[in-house]
Amino acid sequence: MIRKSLFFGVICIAICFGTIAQNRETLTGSVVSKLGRQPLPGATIQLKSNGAATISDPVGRFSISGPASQDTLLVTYLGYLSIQIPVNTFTAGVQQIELSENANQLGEVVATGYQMIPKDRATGSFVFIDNELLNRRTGAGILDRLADVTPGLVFNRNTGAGANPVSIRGQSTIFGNAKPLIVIDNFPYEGDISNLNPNDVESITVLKDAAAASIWGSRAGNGVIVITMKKGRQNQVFKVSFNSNVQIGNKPDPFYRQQMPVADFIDIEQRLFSTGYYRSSELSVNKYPLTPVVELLVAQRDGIISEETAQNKIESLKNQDVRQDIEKFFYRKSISQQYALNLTGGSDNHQFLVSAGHDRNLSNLIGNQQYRTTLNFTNGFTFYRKKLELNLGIYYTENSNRQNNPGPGAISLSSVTGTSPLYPYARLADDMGNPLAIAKDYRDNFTQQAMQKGLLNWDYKPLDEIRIADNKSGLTDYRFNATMGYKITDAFRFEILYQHARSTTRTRNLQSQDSYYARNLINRFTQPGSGGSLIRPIPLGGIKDENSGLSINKSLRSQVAYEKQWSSNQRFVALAGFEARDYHSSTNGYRLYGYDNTHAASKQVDYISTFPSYINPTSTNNTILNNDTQSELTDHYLSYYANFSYTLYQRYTLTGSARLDQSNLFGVETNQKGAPLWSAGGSWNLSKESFYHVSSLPYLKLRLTYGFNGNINKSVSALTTARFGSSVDYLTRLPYTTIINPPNPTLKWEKVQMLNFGIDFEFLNDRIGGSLEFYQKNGKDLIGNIALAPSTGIETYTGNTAGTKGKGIDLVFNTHNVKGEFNWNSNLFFSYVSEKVIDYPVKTSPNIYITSGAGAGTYPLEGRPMYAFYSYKWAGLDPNTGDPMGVLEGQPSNNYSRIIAGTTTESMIYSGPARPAVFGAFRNSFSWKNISLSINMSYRLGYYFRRSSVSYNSVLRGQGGHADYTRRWQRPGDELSTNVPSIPPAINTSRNTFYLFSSTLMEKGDHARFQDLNLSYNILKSQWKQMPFSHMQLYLYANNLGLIWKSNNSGLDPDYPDGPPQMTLAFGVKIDL
Amino acid sequence: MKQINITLKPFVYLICLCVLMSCENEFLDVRPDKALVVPQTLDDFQAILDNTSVMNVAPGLNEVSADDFLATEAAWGVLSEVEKNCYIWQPDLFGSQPSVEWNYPYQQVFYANIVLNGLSALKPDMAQISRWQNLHGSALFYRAIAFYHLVQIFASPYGSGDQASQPGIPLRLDQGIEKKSTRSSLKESYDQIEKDLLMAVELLPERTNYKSRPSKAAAFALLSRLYLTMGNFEKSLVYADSSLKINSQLMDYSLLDSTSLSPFPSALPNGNVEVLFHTAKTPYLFETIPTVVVDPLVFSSFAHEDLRRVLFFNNRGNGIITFKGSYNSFNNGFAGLATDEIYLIRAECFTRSGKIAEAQDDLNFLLASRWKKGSFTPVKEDSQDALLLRIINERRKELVGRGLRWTDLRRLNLDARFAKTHTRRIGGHTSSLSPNDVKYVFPIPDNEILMNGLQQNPRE
Repeated sequence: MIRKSLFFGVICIAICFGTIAQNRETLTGSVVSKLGRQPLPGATIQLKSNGAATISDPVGRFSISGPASQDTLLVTYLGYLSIQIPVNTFTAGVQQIELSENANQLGEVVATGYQMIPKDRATGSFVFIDNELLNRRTGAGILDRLADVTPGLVFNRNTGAGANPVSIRGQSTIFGNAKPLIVIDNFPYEGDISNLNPNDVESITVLKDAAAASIWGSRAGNGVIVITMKKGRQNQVFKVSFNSNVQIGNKPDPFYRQQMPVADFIDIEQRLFSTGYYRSSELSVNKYPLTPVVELLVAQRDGIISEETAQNKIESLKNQDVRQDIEKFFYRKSISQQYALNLTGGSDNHQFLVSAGHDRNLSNLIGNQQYRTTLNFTNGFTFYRKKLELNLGIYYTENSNRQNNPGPGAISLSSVTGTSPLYPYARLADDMGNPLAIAKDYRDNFTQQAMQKGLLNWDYKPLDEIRIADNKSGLTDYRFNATMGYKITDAFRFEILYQHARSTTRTRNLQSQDSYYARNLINRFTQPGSGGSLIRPIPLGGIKDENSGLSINKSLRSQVAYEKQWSSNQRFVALAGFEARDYHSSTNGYRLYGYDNTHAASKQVDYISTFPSYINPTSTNNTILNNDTQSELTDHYLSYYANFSYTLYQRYTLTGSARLDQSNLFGVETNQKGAPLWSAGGSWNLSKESFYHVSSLPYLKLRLTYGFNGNINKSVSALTTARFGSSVDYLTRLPYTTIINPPNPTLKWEKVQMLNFGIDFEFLNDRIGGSLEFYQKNGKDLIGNIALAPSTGIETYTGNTAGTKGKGIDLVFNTHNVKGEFNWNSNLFFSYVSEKVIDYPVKTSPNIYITSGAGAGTYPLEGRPMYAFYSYKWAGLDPNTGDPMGVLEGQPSNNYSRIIAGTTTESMIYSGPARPAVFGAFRNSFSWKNISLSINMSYRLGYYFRRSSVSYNSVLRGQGGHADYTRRWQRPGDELSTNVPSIPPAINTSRNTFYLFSSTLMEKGDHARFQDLNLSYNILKSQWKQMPFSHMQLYLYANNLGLIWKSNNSGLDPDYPDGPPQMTLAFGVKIDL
Repeated sequence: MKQINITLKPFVYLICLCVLMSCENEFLDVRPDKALVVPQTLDDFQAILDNTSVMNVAPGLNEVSADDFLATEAAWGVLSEVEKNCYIWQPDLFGSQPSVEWNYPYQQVFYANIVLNGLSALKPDMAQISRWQNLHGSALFYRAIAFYHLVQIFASPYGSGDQASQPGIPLRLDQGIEKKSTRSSLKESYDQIEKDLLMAVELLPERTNYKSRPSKAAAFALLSRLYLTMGNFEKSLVYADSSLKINSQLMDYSLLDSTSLSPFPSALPNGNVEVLFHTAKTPYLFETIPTVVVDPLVFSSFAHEDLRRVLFFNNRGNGIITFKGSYNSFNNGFAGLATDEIYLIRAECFTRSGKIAEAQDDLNFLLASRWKKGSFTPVKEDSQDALLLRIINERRKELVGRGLRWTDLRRLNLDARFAKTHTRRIGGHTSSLSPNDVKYVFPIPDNEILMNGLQQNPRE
């Protein structure tokens, strides 16, 4: 059937090529994109002679009346190169008007969130991501769509990068907010960006340098991502479009992380048992659990079972691997569905857009899912001969999540020394798939006795827990925008913008009486009463935790814009205004005990009295956890800003910008609450000079900008600051405070100084175009932590102590390799970032740099990148003992504590940065007739990662370890083939630390990745008359296709050493009615 | 119409701007987080000192190095590196890591100094004067006890040499953090503690409603302990006496349930009559795991009629005797001040000054409350030496697990009659600690040494 339709479609295409009627009075035709042959609705078709114009309809068709044969048609469309077609050639047989994408200057207008700037008059560094590029990818998130298409923007994947997933041109703050500012609809967006439906986004502009971003002042230090939402257009025919796709992701692989074999794990347990290691747990008043093997050994020792029985059972456990159960019962293929409907239209004085979207995502953890519904309604009106413009928009998002599966990592075993990971031979289900109980918090014999005495069942069955869990969270978010603009004179325009955003979040975790958490807590507090009765201070029933948050964000902006063109030679644009923002958020949480979900009823408990623990009656002072919490935060900002741009002879442009931000910083005088920031820039279109005659380089523009952006760190204060505990002291029930900030009278705002030099170029008849930018980005007065001698009473002190020095290159190349029926375009970008910390006078101890410098904490070292890998110098294995050897006073040594103590910041090995110094992507797009294919390959170079290996501390605590255990040194000669040390006779923390952080485990991160692929097929109504739509696109998108090349030989993906992201495959359809 | 628009709009705009400017200060003065406070009022200062998890914490590692508890071979695999080093008196204890044993007391000093600074800027009116004095005295007391804990671990025993030239500890007397720390002499360190406490007793109320807060009775008790540590028995006697004048109560142990695994009433907020001031030891595995046992010699020194044998210890057979006698029924061991210690101090001081009868009265009064009703035969020792020995022994028995043994070992070593060499055998290796060994002084953590260029304590 499908094949038949396709065949039919092809026939249609052939037929429709002849459908354009040529008429002396009326000329009709259609406008399509050259690449992908998508219809271009809203293109302007103008007659050069008299200026009469029309625009194309939703399927790109137009008709224009009365052209003379010697007239010329001018066809223009935003983001595409304009084309001029003499009417006579048109009649001579031009079938369709094909417009080429203006790829060299992607888009002609960039958005700063304050104004739209034509790219040719911009001096700063902007990256414009148009709608087509945004829609190359599928998925629920908008930010992901910037990955590997945005020069200068990198997704951080090093340790601890979770809080700051995206960096633009490196990181110029240490303890301040390192996230780029996200602007939606002209105002900073403080909510969760995942609330945004990508189908509602028209385009994104990324502001990278001082001139581009300085209008955002103290929030712009990390770059700005300006998201422009879709809006209706004036004089547009009513248009309905629909987009839907389904994306399937692979199951995670629990075997990717290599573990010590189960048999070895059990051998170690037997060895530890013989040394009495488990004695502390066995005798503990806390009834710590023992693993099945240790229980068998205890039973054997106590003569309860014979040695033979014990050993047979142990042998059979060696064949059990819990990862098989995890793969089977915890994971599934992920499925995401997306539906988006979009209605838009406009008349002369009104335009509107209504959209609705729904996303459903079943995560790859069984039991977890997310739903999102978005509604969007925008209206624009013009009054008084288009002098008054009014725009109103309402955006609504509803999210609901279910988090019933915390993942296999959440299963743990209590022990004397803390919690241990799950033992590798656990069985989660029997052969029939019925959930099985495993050791968790207490020994079996204790829980069995307790249950006989009438306590609740104390078994822990991880698979049942997933089924029983009822952990939901949700969010309702709406934003209301109102914009009014009034054209006072031709040059002056006055604007008021107002936004009111309100977001409520709620989480509700009901742990029913069947859940282990509730049973365990009830049991722990149970006391034997008289005559075998039981007293339960925590009543039977479920335990319900509810948390809610409310944030209200109000913004008001008022500005005057001035735009005047004196002649074609001079043009002046200026803007001045002020902005006030009030961001208020509060959270509340409470817990109910004895919760009866059927009747929504709960029971009261005594939070004041202390109760003995059933487990360990020695600890008699347990109080019932009161989970009531609250907080209330307020951010206020006042800003004054102005900017201008002046263009002379269309060749020289000068821009300037200044902004003063004030905020309700805590504990500072009013004069320190503000920070003035500015920028200046100029550009020179060299190719427009009369003396310029370089025919091989027909377009050449130079740009230079300089200025300051800022960054806010509201966590510090100039005066001694204390924080009230959210509850009373647990011993005295008195309110108390904790000192969080010592006095710091010299506190200042952070500044980022930026210099950007850019060249825009085109050559070979526009076949090659692009830009090259060099920049310097220096952080000044950065807030840094200074380690203080602890005798001051605090270990770290936060103040303006640090600086960073960064420089880099962003290079973009766009080429049209093949033009014609078959099109081949390539886009290559290359970003280089080099940054180092300067002015960081205080050093912490070398072990801290070595163990945490890559992002586990923030420990900058002067002269090095913020996140860097350092290690102990490796001197091989001792051929006689298999001990790892370090270097002490120039000689190989195994005196680990002295090696560690003696390592200085000079003698430790600096491997390199933890974040890529070079990154980029190479995207190739092909189109032939109705088929387009786009393939993106990304690369990251010049960084390092640390391979994990066996930790003998963990092995010798019976907690297992890395599979390198099997490659360990066991007899002399092994040192020739392995670098994994021998197992030490007892825990030796220094030896362990030395090995795990030695230079032998450092690997280069350089790699190239086959990131994704998008294949689409377009059908126009003109090509297939029976199709009930005017245009249909079928597409396929595959993501995370794997590594192409990597420089390390360990077999690990440098960005994901613990497990690569799952490959996903999406199918979708886009329909225009 | 057009004319009006041109003139009116910028005007409106200006008005808006002016309105906004006028409320600017208020708008920017809103507190960003309601939980934040710049401490300025008496309530704020009280809230700082009421942070019990900072202010009511005492060292814990000294117990590991002292001789009341023994780690079995089975415990050895479980203990942390630092605990192992302390247990066998290794030269290096902290392995270039920071240590809470050093950090916590200085954090208390910092909190106390913030309160002292803040109070000096405050002019209390008549209604506030007694609270102001109470807070002032409290801050001085907290600073004194923190310094006291530090000198017991990181400085040489008082009287082991020339106090004026022996290094003491850094004395931070100001909330400022810019000044570098230097080690004061041992004499200056003890002088400062003495000075703070003498001032505190003038300011503090006799008793408090919360045993986490200092009182006059507690300050007298700490002065008495301080002078005992310094070997100044006369003054120690005076202040023990002063403290007992305010609170002389002892619990009658025969009224307690010996089968309970937690037989003593909780000190906080105000449940244990003997407790004068509550502090809890920094927790270590050494305190909690059952394979660390009470020295069998200590246990066997308790007579069967002595209730402490069953109230302090849990005898689980096979030589596994664990300690359950903490006056803090919350998880961490009690290391504060209590009347039983003060009776023992007074008895010791009486003996040393030849007041045998008074000493015996104190000792017998204490012990009578510890034994089964009617089973206790009062001590009768005419010899000063024999009585002193008896009191020292009773002191070890009564104050087991209180974090006091390390200080006692240090001070008693100076007297040849009590000097003792300790040995420990673990994993086939024997370590020993001779009287007045340099290892009686812990090394200062490396980060402090490096940042301030302080003189390190010799350990070998």
